[in-house]
Amino acid sequence: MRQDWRIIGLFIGGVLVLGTIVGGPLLYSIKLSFYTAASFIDPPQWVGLGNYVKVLSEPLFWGSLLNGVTIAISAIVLQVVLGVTIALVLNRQFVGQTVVRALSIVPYFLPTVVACLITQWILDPNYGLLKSVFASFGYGMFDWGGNSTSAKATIVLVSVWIWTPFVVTCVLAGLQSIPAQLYEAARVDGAGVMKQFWHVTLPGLRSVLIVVILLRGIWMFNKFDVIWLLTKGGPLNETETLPTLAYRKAFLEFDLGGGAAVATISFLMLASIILIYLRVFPIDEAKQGR
Amino acid sequence: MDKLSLGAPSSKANVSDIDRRRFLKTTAGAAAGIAGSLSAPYVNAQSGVTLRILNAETTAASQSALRDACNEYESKFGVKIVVDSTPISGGYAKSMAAINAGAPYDIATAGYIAHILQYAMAGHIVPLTDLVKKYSWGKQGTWSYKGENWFYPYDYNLVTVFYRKDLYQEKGLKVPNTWAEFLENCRALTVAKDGNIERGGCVIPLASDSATNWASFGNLFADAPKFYDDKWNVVLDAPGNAGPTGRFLDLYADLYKTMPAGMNTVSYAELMSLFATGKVAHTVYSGRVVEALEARNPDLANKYGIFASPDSAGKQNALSFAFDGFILYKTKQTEAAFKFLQWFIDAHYIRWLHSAWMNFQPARLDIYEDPRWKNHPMIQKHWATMEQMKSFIDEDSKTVLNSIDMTGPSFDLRPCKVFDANIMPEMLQNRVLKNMSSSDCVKAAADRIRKIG
Amino acid sequence: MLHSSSGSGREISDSTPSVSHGKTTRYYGKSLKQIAGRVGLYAAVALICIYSFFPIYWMILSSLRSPEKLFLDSSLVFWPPDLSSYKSLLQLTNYPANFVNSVMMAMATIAVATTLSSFIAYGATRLRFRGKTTLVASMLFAYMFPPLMLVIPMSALFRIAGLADSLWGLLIAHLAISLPLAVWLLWGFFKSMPFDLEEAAMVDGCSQFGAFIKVVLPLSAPGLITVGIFSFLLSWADYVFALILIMSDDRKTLPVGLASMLGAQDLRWGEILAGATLIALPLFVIFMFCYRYFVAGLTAGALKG
Repeated sequence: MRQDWRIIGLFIGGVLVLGTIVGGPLLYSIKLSFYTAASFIDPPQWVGLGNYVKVLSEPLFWGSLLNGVTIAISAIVLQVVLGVTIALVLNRQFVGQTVVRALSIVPYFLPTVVACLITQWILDPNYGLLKSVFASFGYGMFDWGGNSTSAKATIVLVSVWIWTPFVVTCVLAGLQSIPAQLYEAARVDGAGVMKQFWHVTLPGLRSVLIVVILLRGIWMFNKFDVIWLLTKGGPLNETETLPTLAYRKAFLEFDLGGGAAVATISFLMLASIILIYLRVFPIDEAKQGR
Repeated sequence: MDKLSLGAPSSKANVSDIDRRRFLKTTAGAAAGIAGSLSAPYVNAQSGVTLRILNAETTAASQSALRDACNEYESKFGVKIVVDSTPISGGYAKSMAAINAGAPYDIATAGYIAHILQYAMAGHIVPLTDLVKKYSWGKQGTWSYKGENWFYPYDYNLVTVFYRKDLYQEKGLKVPNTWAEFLENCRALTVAKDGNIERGGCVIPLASDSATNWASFGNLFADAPKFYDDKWNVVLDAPGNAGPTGRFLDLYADLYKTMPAGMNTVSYAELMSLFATGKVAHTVYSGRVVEALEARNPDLANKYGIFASPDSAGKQNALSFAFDGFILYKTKQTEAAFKFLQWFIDAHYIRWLHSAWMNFQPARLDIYEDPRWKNHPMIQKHWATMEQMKSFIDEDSKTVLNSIDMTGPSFDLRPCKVFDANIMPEMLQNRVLKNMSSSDCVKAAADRIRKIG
Repeated sequence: MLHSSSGSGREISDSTPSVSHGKTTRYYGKSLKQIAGRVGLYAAVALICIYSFFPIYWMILSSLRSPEKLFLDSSLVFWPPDLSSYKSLLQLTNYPANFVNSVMMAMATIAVATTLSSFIAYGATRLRFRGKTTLVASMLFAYMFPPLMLVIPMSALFRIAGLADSLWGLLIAHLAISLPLAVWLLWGFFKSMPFDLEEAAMVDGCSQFGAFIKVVLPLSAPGLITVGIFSFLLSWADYVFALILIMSDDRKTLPVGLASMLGAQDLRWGEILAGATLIALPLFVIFMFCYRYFVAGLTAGALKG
């Protein structure tokens, strides 16, 4: 096939634009992390690895890393368990299946801000719906923002509510790719529902689930808005994660270099995870996995 | 042609050096301005200028009062004014972001000395001494740094304790003179049902934000422990200071048990709404509570009273407080901004004060005598409260006025950092959320204060 | 992956007749256990519906309560609706201006992202060059960036470029998050499209570019719509970038405008929930009409972070 210069030109142009607006900031961020810059007007000062040394020696950094990992892992586990369960239900045949399937993915498309505001409204310790519900059963409302566990749990639950539909949809698509004969063969062998799930369904979903877990894990780890809108990292930094720490440093403490260093470190950690992921699941197969 | 003096004939008499310098500069600018706008109906020095104001007074009434003033100014003098708003909790970050981006605002409303002092020390704002000197001000109203006044206050935000007179009467309680009495009153008024606190004894915020720094430490200030000695050594955990601070934390922990859930997310708005909806018997806030009562629960607006925070021994009382005022950033348009501010103060100050009639408790003493201000029906209605609020700022008032960012032997950046780092709110959190012992909390706070220097 | 979704759609429509078909025969043979299973299934379905939609219903409901009732009433009925929260939202806040900004951002993001990504994705599938896989893999990489890794340097770079506090800057940011995803989606789409069609057109005298415009693009409409929808979602829902890159009130987008109502001195839950409902409303409308593209994009690993 003869190559058309217009196609080549548009392709190169597109790649250049994309490279500039994504790669430019990326490189600049790495550069910033080697400087101290309190503001955008004063010339930045080269400090070498100073920002990294400072950041890595802060207990807050390690605490934030731990919080982020805790939140991400709990959210992923719940999303996958709940997502597979919902998908299995929605994969059965029942009246109104299409509508229910549609309804079940609505939370995913809600802007995070809206989801967080709804949460705050429902969980308001004094006027919230949950308080009324608890009271009608004779229980006291818990103070969700008051301690480490409940604040983290709230963030996890909101994330699960928003992002489980992603798991549901992918798993539903995955279920379609499992040949019906496998189930029949299992039934012939006398396998019950549970056995079928363990020996047919789960292996059939393996590739989908691995992709889903990795993707969602990375996004959860990067989450800024849910945490910022719900707890701002409190109480006492118990829900501070690397993204909120980077934001705090760069935009509330006016330490751009420090913020960039935190962002770069978390990027490097993620990049290595993604590289491993791409090694294990080469890109073409990963796509077919769905 | 100098429009700025039109509205302020009185100011002509004491034109200072700075005024004169400004006058000369603007004359030069005026020539260019006239040349550029021959067709303009007004001959003015500033056409083509756009001023930017950052306003942290985000209630609808205050926003529209400011917008009206700006529109009037634009139609009279051809100076366009853009107003941006920010929730008070984000004002400092937004101001600094604008400065750091090289595009500072021209004018802003600012609340905390912590922030104003930081702007002043970093050279971001210009002194307003001449404007301030024209009037007499309430207690501590004209704090200065390097002999200059750095902002033009419009109100005091004294944190008084609001209480329910009807409930006090019902239970036969009296206004407390000591911590113990305050705690007793809070306990007596707490109503719990099924593990929920239906009506809290009080609400005193706990979150890591300016609201807690501002509102939660009245009782501590009444006992007057020192944060620093005369040489700026941190002595909060030294004998004589650690004691009262620790006992204050114990008091807070006891009070905390009478508070409704969610103190860690309570901020300015909730302090008012909880009281206005009858969910708490005491709250700590400035006059805005009265406005909230009138708007939401007029019935309660006749049943509240205020008092200053007592100390442990019944010897003195104290108020945590802040001001709100205007600051002028150092920009290319400082002259124009200065003129606007002067005009605003002459023409719109009272209308501005009326936009939050009870919360904008005047810092300028002449306002209290000004019938235009005083005759506002709502101020009339709550005059007794207003007089009580004014009594706290009289020169002979015995009530201690203090704030986290003003502790120490003089105005300084150090306590401002304590304020911004939320060290004191987190001391409370350590006590009630982490259940640390009071002495450990004090020690940890003192260590952090030392660390940030 | 688009096929798989249309496949599932087909199956849904297939299933309905089969249910009614077998009804008579099945009912006789149904044991108690099967009936219990049926009841259990519908109970689970009901639970899923409540779980997914009740919070949203509660938001809409609360936004339609009168201010006096808002804090006290926890009934599940909103009738008669009270629009005062909406009225004061529109009168007292910058909501209409924020809305216009959000719409402009979303439209521009859709237009630019769809166009550019189709150029890149088409080139990546049809041109012969080294490092194709690297290019596509880097798309995956790019949409996994920590957002802070982009926005911290952007806030500095935009200052230098004179784009601080500007909707143009925000557009660039929205493109930076939506383009990699768009390329990834379309790459999968173009790759699965048979080359024969274009080749046939080119045999008929069309240039490759002509074939791209006249044959490939029209046939790719479903993929382009999916890309458009996801670009819209990313831009419409963005909070992080707008929070950091935009300062002025008159340039704020909806999510930031809405969130900043929370920190104010007066508690405006009524207005906040009304505003939240209005942000969600356009999404619901689009969602109803384009459900299958949403699903297609989702299963393609397409994702709003």
